[in-house]
Amino acid sequence: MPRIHVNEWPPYAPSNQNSKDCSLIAAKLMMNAAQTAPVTGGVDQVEGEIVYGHDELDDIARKMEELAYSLGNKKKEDQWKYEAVMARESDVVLFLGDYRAKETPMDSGCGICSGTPDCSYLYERRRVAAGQIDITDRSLSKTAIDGPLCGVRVVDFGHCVGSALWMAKNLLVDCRPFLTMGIAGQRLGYCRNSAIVVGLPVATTSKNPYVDIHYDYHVINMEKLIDSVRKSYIILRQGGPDYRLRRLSRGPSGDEEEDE
Amino acid sequence: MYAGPEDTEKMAYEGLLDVANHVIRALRHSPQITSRLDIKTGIVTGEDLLPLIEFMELVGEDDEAVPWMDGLTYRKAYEEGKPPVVVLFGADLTTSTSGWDCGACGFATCAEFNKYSKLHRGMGPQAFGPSCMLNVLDMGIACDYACAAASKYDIENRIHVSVGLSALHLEYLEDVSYILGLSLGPLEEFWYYNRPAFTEIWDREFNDSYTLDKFRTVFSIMFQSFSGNFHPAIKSYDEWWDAETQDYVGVTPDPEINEVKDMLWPRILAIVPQFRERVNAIKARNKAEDAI
Repeated sequence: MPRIHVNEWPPYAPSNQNSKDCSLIAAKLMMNAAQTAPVTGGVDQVEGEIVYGHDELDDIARKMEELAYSLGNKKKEDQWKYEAVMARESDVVLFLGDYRAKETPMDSGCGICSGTPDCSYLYERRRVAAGQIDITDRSLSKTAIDGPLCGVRVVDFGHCVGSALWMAKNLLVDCRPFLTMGIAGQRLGYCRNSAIVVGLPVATTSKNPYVDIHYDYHVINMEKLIDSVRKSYIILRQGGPDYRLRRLSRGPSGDEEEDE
Repeated sequence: MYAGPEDTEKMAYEGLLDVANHVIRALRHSPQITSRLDIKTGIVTGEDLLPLIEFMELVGEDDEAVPWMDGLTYRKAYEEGKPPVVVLFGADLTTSTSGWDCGACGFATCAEFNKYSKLHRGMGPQAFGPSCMLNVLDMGIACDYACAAASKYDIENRIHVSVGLSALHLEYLEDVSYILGLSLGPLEEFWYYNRPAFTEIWDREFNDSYTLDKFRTVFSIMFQSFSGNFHPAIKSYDEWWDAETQDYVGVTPDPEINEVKDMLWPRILAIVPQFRERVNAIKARNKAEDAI
Protein backbone atom coordinates (compact mmCIF):
# COMPACT_ATOMS: atom_id res chain seq x y z
CA MET A 1 0.00 0.00 0.00
CA PRO A 2 1.48 3.33 -0.96
CA ARG A 3 2.35 5.69 1.85
CA ILE A 4 2.85 9.42 1.63
CA HIS A 5 4.93 10.87 4.43
CA VAL A 6 5.56 14.58 4.73
CA ASN A 7 8.12 16.42 6.79
CA GLU A 8 9.59 19.85 6.33
CA TRP A 9 13.12 18.82 7.21
CA PRO A 10 15.51 18.03 5.63
CA PRO A 11 14.62 20.09 2.57
CA TYR A 12 14.36 18.21 -0.71
CA ALA A 13 14.34 14.82 1.03
CA PRO A 14 11.51 12.57 -0.25
CA SER A 15 9.26 13.49 2.71
CA ASN A 16 9.69 17.16 1.95
CA GLN A 17 9.34 16.57 -1.77
CA ASN A 18 5.83 15.23 -1.09
CA SER A 19 4.71 18.56 0.32
CA LYS A 20 6.62 20.48 -2.35
CA ASP A 21 4.64 18.51 -4.93
CA CYS A 22 1.46 19.85 -3.34
CA SER A 23 2.83 23.39 -3.38
CA LEU A 24 3.21 22.85 -7.10
CA ILE A 25 -0.47 21.93 -7.36
CA ALA A 26 -1.32 25.05 -5.35
CA ALA A 27 0.77 27.18 -7.72
CA LYS A 28 -1.01 25.65 -10.71
CA LEU A 29 -4.39 26.50 -9.20
CA MET A 30 -3.13 30.02 -8.49
CA MET A 31 -2.12 30.33 -12.13
CA ASN A 32 -5.63 29.37 -13.19
CA ALA A 33 -7.13 31.80 -10.68
CA ALA A 34 -5.04 34.55 -12.27
CA GLN A 35 -6.48 33.63 -15.67
CA THR A 36 -10.06 33.89 -14.45
CA ALA A 37 -9.49 37.27 -12.80
CA PRO A 38 -11.81 40.02 -14.05
CA VAL A 39 -10.03 42.24 -16.59
CA THR A 40 -11.19 45.17 -18.68
CA GLY A 41 -13.33 43.93 -21.53
CA GLY A 42 -12.43 40.35 -20.71
CA VAL A 43 -9.37 40.62 -22.94
CA ASP A 44 -6.73 37.97 -22.27
CA GLN A 45 -3.46 39.50 -21.17
CA VAL A 46 -1.89 37.43 -18.43
CA GLU A 47 0.70 34.73 -18.92
CA GLY A 48 2.06 32.50 -16.20
CA GLU A 49 5.05 30.26 -15.75
CA ILE A 50 5.86 27.93 -12.89
CA VAL A 51 9.40 27.16 -11.79
CA TYR A 52 10.40 24.62 -9.20
CA GLY A 53 13.35 22.53 -8.15
CA HIS A 54 16.46 23.33 -6.13
CA ASP A 55 18.70 24.45 -8.97
CA GLU A 56 15.98 26.36 -10.79
CA LEU A 57 15.09 28.40 -7.69
CA ASP A 58 18.77 28.95 -7.01
CA ASP A 59 19.13 30.34 -10.54
CA ILE A 60 16.42 32.88 -9.78
CA ALA A 61 18.08 33.80 -6.46
CA ARG A 62 21.45 34.25 -8.17
CA LYS A 63 19.90 36.50 -10.78
CA MET A 64 18.33 38.56 -7.99
CA GLU A 65 21.69 38.87 -6.27
CA GLU A 66 23.26 39.96 -9.53
CA LEU A 67 20.57 42.59 -10.08
CA ALA A 68 21.05 43.82 -6.51
CA TYR A 69 24.34 45.26 -7.70
CA SER A 70 24.01 45.67 -11.45
CA LEU A 71 20.91 47.88 -11.32
CA GLY A 72 22.93 50.19 -9.11
CA ASN A 73 20.07 51.22 -6.81
CA LYS A 74 21.73 51.40 -3.40
CA LYS A 75 18.43 51.92 -1.61
CA LYS A 76 17.08 48.60 -2.84
CA GLU A 77 20.28 46.57 -2.71
CA ASP A 78 19.46 44.87 0.60
CA GLN A 79 15.92 44.15 -0.45
CA TRP A 80 17.12 42.29 -3.55
CA LYS A 81 19.57 40.25 -1.49
CA TYR A 82 17.15 39.42 1.33
CA GLU A 83 14.44 38.40 -1.10
CA ALA A 84 16.89 36.17 -2.95
CA VAL A 85 17.07 34.09 0.23
CA MET A 86 13.29 33.85 0.20
CA ALA A 87 13.41 32.53 -3.37
CA ARG A 88 15.76 29.76 -2.22
CA GLU A 89 13.47 28.93 0.71
CA SER A 90 10.41 28.58 -1.51
CA ASP A 91 8.94 25.39 -2.92
CA VAL A 92 7.74 26.87 -6.18
CA VAL A 93 7.82 30.25 -7.85
CA LEU A 94 4.87 31.28 -9.98
CA PHE A 95 5.62 34.08 -12.42
CA LEU A 96 2.75 36.12 -13.73
CA GLY A 97 3.25 38.63 -16.53
CA ASP A 98 1.07 40.98 -18.53
CA TYR A 99 1.92 40.68 -22.20
CA ARG A 100 -0.31 43.54 -23.35
CA ALA A 101 0.84 46.32 -21.03
CA LYS A 102 3.72 47.35 -23.30
CA GLU A 103 2.76 46.21 -26.80
CA THR A 104 -1.03 46.33 -27.10
CA PRO A 105 -2.48 48.96 -24.76
CA MET A 106 -6.18 49.30 -24.08
CA ASP A 107 -6.33 52.34 -26.44
CA SER A 108 -9.16 53.96 -24.56
CA GLY A 109 -7.47 57.31 -24.08
CA CYS A 110 -8.30 57.07 -20.42
CA GLY A 111 -5.45 59.22 -19.13
CA ILE A 112 -4.42 57.03 -16.22
CA CYS A 113 -0.80 56.76 -17.40
CA SER A 114 -0.23 60.44 -18.10
CA GLY A 115 -3.27 62.63 -17.59
CA THR A 116 -3.57 63.17 -21.34
CA PRO A 117 -6.67 61.99 -23.17
CA ASP A 118 -5.27 60.33 -26.29
CA CYS A 119 -2.68 57.65 -25.39
CA SER A 120 -0.07 59.92 -26.99
CA TYR A 121 2.14 59.70 -23.93
CA LEU A 122 2.54 55.97 -24.50
CA TYR A 123 2.97 56.04 -28.28
CA GLU A 124 5.35 59.00 -28.31
CA ARG A 125 7.78 57.04 -26.18
CA ARG A 126 7.76 53.90 -28.32
CA ARG A 127 8.86 52.92 -31.77
CA VAL A 128 5.60 52.97 -33.76
CA ALA A 129 4.70 51.69 -37.22
CA ALA A 130 1.24 51.70 -38.79
CA GLY A 131 -0.26 52.76 -35.45
CA GLN A 132 1.19 49.71 -33.80
CA ILE A 133 3.89 49.63 -31.13
CA ASP A 134 6.96 47.94 -32.55
CA ILE A 135 8.65 45.87 -29.87
CA THR A 136 11.22 44.19 -32.04
CA ASP A 137 14.00 46.27 -30.49
CA ARG A 138 14.53 44.15 -27.43
CA SER A 139 17.72 45.77 -26.20
CA LEU A 140 17.31 45.83 -22.44
CA SER A 141 15.95 48.98 -20.89
CA LYS A 142 18.10 50.81 -18.38
CA THR A 143 15.37 50.57 -15.76
CA ALA A 144 14.12 47.41 -14.09
CA ILE A 145 10.87 47.60 -16.03
CA ASP A 146 10.66 48.73 -19.65
CA GLY A 147 8.04 51.51 -19.49
CA PRO A 148 5.85 53.34 -20.14
CA LEU A 149 3.09 50.80 -19.72
CA CYS A 150 -0.65 51.02 -20.29
CA GLY A 151 -2.24 51.82 -16.92
CA VAL A 152 -5.44 49.97 -17.67
CA ARG A 153 -3.48 46.82 -18.40
CA VAL A 154 -1.46 47.23 -15.22
CA VAL A 155 -4.62 47.61 -13.12
CA ASP A 156 -5.98 44.48 -14.77
CA PHE A 157 -2.70 42.75 -14.07
CA GLY A 158 -3.19 43.69 -10.43
CA HIS A 159 -6.49 41.81 -10.49
CA CYS A 160 -4.70 38.75 -11.85
CA VAL A 161 -1.99 38.84 -9.19
CA GLY A 162 -4.66 39.46 -6.55
CA SER A 163 -6.68 36.44 -7.65
CA ALA A 164 -3.58 34.24 -7.48
CA LEU A 165 -2.82 35.51 -3.97
CA TRP A 166 -6.41 34.99 -2.93
CA MET A 167 -6.22 31.39 -4.11
CA ALA A 168 -2.98 30.90 -2.15
CA LYS A 169 -4.65 32.24 0.96
CA ASN A 170 -7.59 29.89 0.56
CA LEU A 171 -5.27 26.92 0.07
CA LEU A 172 -3.39 27.94 3.24
CA VAL A 173 0.00 28.11 1.53
CA ASP A 174 2.32 31.02 2.24
CA CYS A 175 2.80 33.45 -0.60
CA ARG A 176 3.65 37.09 -1.21
CA PRO A 177 4.03 39.11 -4.41
CA PHE A 178 7.62 40.13 -5.23
CA LEU A 179 8.68 42.56 -7.91
CA THR A 180 12.33 41.60 -7.43
CA MET A 181 11.63 37.96 -8.20
CA GLY A 182 9.47 38.96 -11.17
CA ILE A 183 12.17 41.12 -12.73
CA ALA A 184 14.80 38.42 -12.18
CA GLY A 185 12.49 35.79 -13.67
CA GLN A 186 11.79 37.93 -16.70
CA ARG A 187 15.51 38.45 -17.30
CA LEU A 188 15.95 34.68 -17.11
CA GLY A 189 13.38 34.33 -19.89
CA TYR A 190 10.29 33.39 -17.92
CA CYS A 191 7.06 35.07 -19.06
CA ARG A 192 9.12 36.41 -21.91
CA ASN A 193 6.25 38.16 -23.70
CA SER A 194 5.61 40.44 -20.76
CA ALA A 195 7.13 43.81 -19.88
CA ILE A 196 5.94 43.53 -16.29
CA VAL A 197 6.31 40.31 -14.32
CA VAL A 198 5.57 39.58 -10.68
CA GLY A 199 7.03 36.60 -8.82
CA LEU A 200 4.75 34.73 -6.45
CA PRO A 201 6.79 32.26 -4.43
CA VAL A 202 4.85 29.53 -2.67
CA ALA A 203 6.01 27.77 0.46
CA THR A 204 4.50 25.08 2.64
CA THR A 205 6.43 25.48 5.87
CA SER A 206 5.62 26.05 9.52
CA LYS A 207 7.21 29.46 9.45
CA ASN A 208 6.15 31.79 6.70
CA PRO A 209 9.52 32.46 5.02
CA TYR A 210 8.42 35.83 3.69
CA VAL A 211 7.94 37.70 6.99
CA ASP A 212 9.98 38.57 10.06
CA ILE A 213 13.21 39.24 8.19
CA HIS A 214 16.08 40.72 10.15
CA TYR A 215 19.00 42.77 8.93
CA ASP A 216 21.89 41.04 7.15
CA TYR A 217 19.46 38.29 6.22
CA HIS A 218 21.52 37.49 3.13
CA VAL A 219 24.35 36.23 5.34
CA ILE A 220 22.42 35.24 8.46
CA ASN A 221 19.68 32.78 7.57
CA MET A 222 18.83 29.13 8.19
CA GLU A 223 20.91 27.75 5.35
CA LYS A 224 24.01 29.75 6.26
CA LEU A 225 23.54 29.03 9.96
CA ILE A 226 23.48 25.28 9.46
CA ASP A 227 26.46 25.45 7.18
CA SER A 228 28.36 27.40 9.83
CA VAL A 229 27.61 24.74 12.44
CA ARG A 230 28.93 22.09 10.07
CA LYS A 231 32.01 24.15 9.39
CA SER A 232 32.82 24.52 13.11
CA TYR A 233 31.74 21.13 14.41
CA ILE A 234 33.55 19.10 11.78
CA ILE A 235 36.85 20.67 12.79
CA LEU A 236 36.30 20.27 16.54
CA ARG A 237 35.40 16.55 16.43
CA GLN A 238 38.90 15.74 15.25
CA GLY A 239 39.94 15.46 18.92
CA GLY A 240 37.89 12.28 19.42
CA PRO A 241 39.36 9.11 21.01
CA ASP A 242 39.03 5.54 19.72
CA TYR A 243 35.61 4.65 21.14
CA ARG A 244 36.39 0.92 20.62
CA LEU A 245 39.25 1.02 23.09
CA ARG A 246 37.97 3.45 25.69
CA ARG A 247 34.48 3.47 27.16
CA LEU A 248 33.35 6.08 29.70
CA SER A 249 30.69 5.69 32.38
CA ARG A 250 27.71 8.02 32.24
CA GLY A 251 27.57 9.00 35.86
CA PRO A 252 26.14 7.44 39.02
CA SER A 253 22.45 7.35 38.01
CA GLY A 254 23.01 5.73 34.63
CA ASP A 255 25.87 3.41 34.08
CA GLU A 256 27.54 1.92 37.14
CA GLU A 257 30.65 0.75 35.33
CA GLU A 258 33.94 2.47 36.01
CA ASP A 259 35.89 4.16 33.25
CA GLU A 260 37.92 1.58 31.44
CA MET B 1 -26.17 57.72 2.10
CA TYR B 2 -22.63 58.86 1.71
CA ALA B 3 -19.70 57.72 3.78
CA GLY B 4 -16.33 59.37 3.24
CA PRO B 5 -12.85 58.09 3.99
CA GLU B 6 -13.07 58.76 7.71
CA ASP B 7 -16.55 57.27 8.06
CA THR B 8 -15.71 54.15 6.09
CA GLU B 9 -12.56 53.60 8.10
CA LYS B 10 -14.56 53.96 11.28
CA MET B 11 -17.16 51.52 9.96
CA ALA B 12 -14.47 49.03 9.03
CA TYR B 13 -13.05 49.18 12.54
CA GLU B 14 -16.52 48.84 14.06
CA GLY B 15 -17.00 45.80 11.84
CA LEU B 16 -14.17 44.09 13.68
CA LEU B 17 -16.68 43.39 16.45
CA ASP B 18 -18.79 41.42 13.97
CA VAL B 19 -15.71 39.43 13.01
CA ALA B 20 -15.00 38.79 16.69
CA ASN B 21 -18.53 37.51 17.00
CA HIS B 22 -18.01 35.18 14.07
CA VAL B 23 -14.70 33.99 15.50
CA ILE B 24 -16.46 33.06 18.73
CA ARG B 25 -19.15 31.17 16.83
CA ALA B 26 -16.46 29.33 14.87
CA LEU B 27 -14.50 28.26 17.90
CA ARG B 28 -17.66 27.07 19.61
CA HIS B 29 -18.40 25.03 16.49
CA SER B 30 -14.93 23.50 16.33
CA PRO B 31 -14.89 19.70 16.14
CA GLN B 32 -13.56 18.26 19.37
CA ILE B 33 -11.97 15.06 20.58
CA THR B 34 -13.50 15.22 24.06
CA SER B 35 -16.56 17.28 23.10
CA ARG B 36 -16.62 18.29 26.74
CA LEU B 37 -14.36 21.34 26.79
CA ASP B 38 -16.19 24.28 28.33
CA ILE B 39 -14.74 27.21 26.41
CA LYS B 40 -15.24 30.64 27.92
CA THR B 41 -14.87 33.66 25.69
CA GLY B 42 -14.50 37.40 26.03
CA ILE B 43 -13.91 40.44 23.86
CA VAL B 44 -11.69 43.33 24.93
CA THR B 45 -10.95 46.49 23.00
CA GLY B 46 -10.57 50.24 23.41
CA GLU B 47 -9.42 51.58 26.74
CA ASP B 48 -10.32 48.35 28.51
CA LEU B 49 -7.18 47.00 26.84
CA LEU B 50 -5.01 49.38 28.85
CA PRO B 51 -4.49 47.18 31.92
CA LEU B 52 -3.45 44.37 29.56
CA ILE B 53 -1.05 46.60 27.62
CA GLU B 54 0.52 48.10 30.74
CA PHE B 55 0.87 44.69 32.32
CA MET B 56 2.67 43.30 29.27
CA GLU B 57 4.94 46.32 29.22
CA LEU B 58 5.87 45.80 32.86
CA VAL B 59 6.46 42.07 32.41
CA GLY B 60 8.40 42.89 29.26
CA GLU B 61 11.04 44.79 31.16
CA ASP B 62 14.25 42.87 31.78
CA ASP B 63 14.31 41.14 28.40
CA GLU B 64 11.08 39.17 28.57
CA ALA B 65 10.99 39.42 24.81
CA VAL B 66 7.50 38.27 23.85
CA PRO B 67 5.39 40.42 26.23
CA TRP B 68 7.74 43.29 25.44
CA MET B 69 7.14 42.92 21.69
CA ASP B 70 3.39 42.47 22.07
CA GLY B 71 3.14 45.33 24.55
CA LEU B 72 4.97 47.60 22.12
CA THR B 73 2.80 46.49 19.20
CA TYR B 74 -0.47 46.92 21.11
CA ARG B 75 0.62 50.28 22.52
CA LYS B 76 1.29 51.70 19.07
CA ALA B 77 -2.07 50.49 17.78
CA TYR B 78 -3.85 51.96 20.79
CA GLU B 79 -2.12 55.29 20.56
CA GLU B 80 -2.85 55.60 16.86
CA GLY B 81 -6.54 55.16 17.71
CA LYS B 82 -6.88 51.73 16.12
CA PRO B 83 -6.70 49.29 19.01
CA PRO B 84 -7.17 45.64 18.11
CA VAL B 85 -10.36 43.83 19.04
CA VAL B 86 -9.04 41.01 21.19
CA VAL B 87 -10.96 37.77 21.45
CA LEU B 88 -10.01 35.97 24.63
CA PHE B 89 -10.90 32.33 24.90
CA GLY B 90 -9.97 29.93 27.63
CA ALA B 91 -10.99 26.76 29.37
CA ASP B 92 -10.24 24.79 32.49
CA LEU B 93 -7.85 22.17 31.18
CA THR B 94 -6.82 20.81 34.58
CA THR B 95 -9.50 18.17 34.96
CA SER B 96 -10.00 15.24 32.64
CA THR B 97 -13.66 14.50 32.07
CA SER B 98 -13.55 12.48 28.89
CA GLY B 99 -12.73 9.08 30.46
CA TRP B 100 -10.41 8.02 27.65
CA ASP B 101 -7.67 6.77 29.99
CA CYS B 102 -5.43 7.55 27.04
CA GLY B 103 -2.18 7.98 28.96
CA ALA B 104 -1.06 11.15 27.19
CA CYS B 105 -0.61 12.89 30.54
CA GLY B 106 1.69 10.16 31.82
CA PHE B 107 -0.87 8.45 34.08
CA ALA B 108 -2.57 5.17 33.29
CA THR B 109 -6.07 6.44 34.03
CA CYS B 110 -7.95 9.74 34.09
CA ALA B 111 -8.81 9.13 37.74
CA GLU B 112 -5.13 8.95 38.67
CA PHE B 113 -4.40 12.09 36.70
CA ASN B 114 -7.29 13.98 38.29
CA LYS B 115 -6.14 12.94 41.75
CA TYR B 116 -2.62 14.13 40.97
CA SER B 117 -3.87 17.28 39.29
CA LYS B 118 -5.97 18.28 42.29
CA LEU B 119 -2.93 18.12 44.57
CA HIS B 120 -0.38 19.71 42.26
CA ARG B 121 -1.98 22.79 40.77
CA GLY B 122 0.58 25.41 39.95
CA MET B 123 1.66 28.17 37.65
CA GLY B 124 4.66 27.82 35.38
CA PRO B 125 6.22 30.73 33.53
CA GLN B 126 3.75 30.39 30.69
CA ALA B 127 0.77 28.34 31.81
CA PHE B 128 -1.26 26.95 34.65
CA GLY B 129 -1.20 23.17 35.08
CA PRO B 130 -1.29 20.22 35.15
CA SER B 131 -3.46 19.83 32.06
CA CYS B 132 -5.26 16.90 30.49
CA MET B 133 -3.64 16.50 27.09
CA LEU B 134 -6.93 15.81 25.32
CA ASN B 135 -8.26 19.10 26.70
CA VAL B 136 -5.11 20.77 25.42
CA LEU B 137 -5.65 19.19 22.01
CA ASP B 138 -9.25 20.43 21.90
CA MET B 139 -8.09 23.87 22.94
CA GLY B 140 -5.67 23.75 20.01
CA ILE B 141 -8.40 22.76 17.56
CA ALA B 142 -10.68 25.52 18.85
CA CYS B 143 -7.82 27.99 18.51
CA ASP B 144 -7.20 26.97 14.92
CA TYR B 145 -10.87 27.36 14.06
CA ALA B 146 -10.87 30.82 15.57
CA CYS B 147 -7.83 31.87 13.54
CA ALA B 148 -9.10 30.29 10.33
CA ALA B 149 -12.39 32.15 10.76
CA ALA B 150 -10.53 35.43 11.20
CA SER B 151 -8.42 34.64 8.14
CA LYS B 152 -11.57 34.21 6.02
CA TYR B 153 -12.40 37.82 6.73
CA ASP B 154 -9.02 38.97 5.46
CA ILE B 155 -8.03 40.97 8.46
CA GLU B 156 -4.72 41.19 10.22
CA ASN B 157 -4.75 38.75 13.12
CA ARG B 158 -2.42 36.86 15.39
CA ILE B 159 -2.79 34.45 18.24
CA HIS B 160 -0.82 35.42 21.34
CA VAL B 161 0.14 33.32 24.32
CA SER B 162 1.45 36.47 26.02
CA VAL B 163 -1.93 38.22 25.79
CA GLY B 164 -3.75 35.11 27.02
CA LEU B 165 -1.35 34.65 29.89
CA SER B 166 -1.67 38.29 30.93
CA ALA B 167 -5.47 38.01 30.75
CA LEU B 168 -5.24 34.93 32.94
CA HIS B 169 -3.16 36.77 35.53
CA LEU B 170 -5.52 39.74 35.49
CA GLU B 171 -8.64 37.53 35.52
CA TYR B 172 -10.29 38.93 32.43
CA LEU B 173 -11.88 35.45 32.31
CA GLU B 174 -12.56 33.43 35.44
CA ASP B 175 -12.62 29.69 36.21
CA VAL B 176 -10.21 28.88 33.43
CA SER B 177 -6.68 27.54 33.58
CA TYR B 178 -5.52 28.68 30.16
CA ILE B 179 -6.34 31.59 27.90
CA LEU B 180 -5.26 32.52 24.41
CA GLY B 181 -5.73 35.96 22.91
CA LEU B 182 -6.59 36.47 19.25
CA SER B 183 -6.00 40.01 18.02
CA LEU B 184 -8.26 41.18 15.23
CA GLY B 185 -6.93 44.30 13.53
CA PRO B 186 -5.54 46.95 13.18
CA LEU B 187 -6.64 46.87 9.57
CA GLU B 188 -3.14 46.90 8.14
CA GLU B 189 -0.85 44.42 6.48
CA PHE B 190 1.67 42.63 8.72
CA TRP B 191 0.98 44.54 11.94
CA TYR B 192 1.98 41.53 14.01
CA TYR B 193 4.59 40.06 11.70
CA ASN B 194 6.97 42.56 10.24
CA ARG B 195 5.69 44.80 13.04
CA PRO B 196 5.69 48.48 12.11
CA ALA B 197 6.09 49.17 15.83
CA PHE B 198 9.54 47.59 15.56
CA THR B 199 10.44 49.01 12.22
CA GLU B 200 10.00 52.47 13.73
CA ILE B 201 12.48 51.96 16.56
CA TRP B 202 14.84 49.72 14.62
CA ASP B 203 17.50 52.22 13.67
CA ARG B 204 21.21 51.52 13.40
CA GLU B 205 21.75 52.14 17.11
CA PHE B 206 18.96 49.77 18.15
CA ASN B 207 20.23 47.17 15.71
CA ASP B 208 23.80 47.31 16.95
CA SER B 209 23.10 47.67 20.66
CA TYR B 210 20.08 45.42 21.04
CA THR B 211 19.48 42.90 18.29
CA LEU B 212 23.05 42.44 17.21
CA ASP B 213 23.97 41.92 20.81
CA LYS B 214 21.33 39.19 21.13
CA PHE B 215 22.35 37.64 17.84
CA ARG B 216 25.94 37.50 18.94
CA THR B 217 24.89 35.73 22.12
CA VAL B 218 22.74 33.20 20.32
CA PHE B 219 24.54 32.69 17.04
CA SER B 220 28.11 33.58 17.83
CA ILE B 221 29.57 30.11 17.80
CA MET B 222 27.77 29.40 14.56
CA PHE B 223 28.62 32.53 12.67
CA GLN B 224 31.27 34.62 14.19
CA SER B 225 33.81 32.31 15.73
CA PHE B 226 37.12 31.25 14.30
CA SER B 227 36.89 27.52 13.75
CA GLY B 228 39.03 24.80 15.22
CA ASN B 229 39.72 26.32 18.59
CA PHE B 230 38.47 25.43 22.07
CA HIS B 231 38.38 29.10 22.98
CA PRO B 232 36.97 30.51 19.82
CA ALA B 233 37.65 34.16 19.26
CA ILE B 234 34.65 36.04 17.99
CA LYS B 235 34.68 38.18 14.91
CA SER B 236 32.67 41.29 15.65
CA TYR B 237 30.89 43.26 13.00
CA ASP B 238 33.49 45.94 13.42
CA GLU B 239 37.05 45.40 12.43
CA TRP B 240 37.98 42.93 15.10
CA TRP B 241 41.64 42.93 14.13
CA ASP B 242 41.89 46.52 15.30
CA ALA B 243 40.08 46.01 18.59
CA GLU B 244 42.07 46.43 21.78
CA THR B 245 40.64 43.34 23.44
CA GLN B 246 39.39 40.16 21.85
CA ASP B 247 35.91 38.74 22.64
CA TYR B 248 35.48 35.02 23.28
CA VAL B 249 32.59 32.60 23.63
CA GLY B 250 32.29 30.71 26.87
CA VAL B 251 29.80 29.24 29.31
CA THR B 252 30.03 31.06 32.62
CA PRO B 253 27.67 31.66 35.54
CA ASP B 254 25.84 34.96 35.27
CA PRO B 255 24.53 36.03 38.69
CA GLU B 256 23.11 39.22 37.25
CA ILE B 257 20.84 37.40 34.81
CA ASN B 258 20.00 34.86 37.49
CA GLU B 259 18.80 37.60 39.74
CA VAL B 260 16.64 39.11 37.02
CA LYS B 261 15.12 35.71 36.23
CA ASP B 262 14.54 34.92 39.90
CA MET B 263 12.83 38.24 40.41
CA LEU B 264 10.44 37.86 37.48
CA TRP B 265 7.81 35.86 39.37
CA PRO B 266 7.83 38.01 42.54
CA ARG B 267 7.72 41.06 40.29
CA ILE B 268 4.59 39.75 38.54
CA LEU B 269 2.92 38.76 41.81
CA ALA B 270 3.59 42.21 43.20
CA ILE B 271 1.95 44.05 40.33
CA VAL B 272 -0.96 41.68 39.69
CA PRO B 273 -3.33 42.85 42.50
CA GLN B 274 -3.48 46.49 41.40
CA PHE B 275 -4.15 45.41 37.81
CA ARG B 276 -6.82 42.95 38.91
CA GLU B 277 -8.59 45.76 40.69
CA ARG B 278 -8.79 47.70 37.44
CA VAL B 279 -10.06 44.67 35.52
CA ASN B 280 -12.64 43.98 38.22
CA ALA B 281 -13.82 47.57 37.90
CA ILE B 282 -14.17 47.04 34.14
CA LYS B 283 -16.17 43.89 34.72
CA ALA B 284 -18.38 45.56 37.35
CA ARG B 285 -19.06 48.44 34.97
CA ASN B 286 -19.97 45.95 32.26
CA LYS B 287 -22.37 44.14 34.62
CA ALA B 288 -24.02 47.40 35.61
CA GLU B 289 -24.45 48.32 31.93
CA ASP B 290 -26.01 44.93 31.24
CA ALA B 291 -28.47 45.42 34.09
CA ILE B 292 -29.81 48.66 32.64
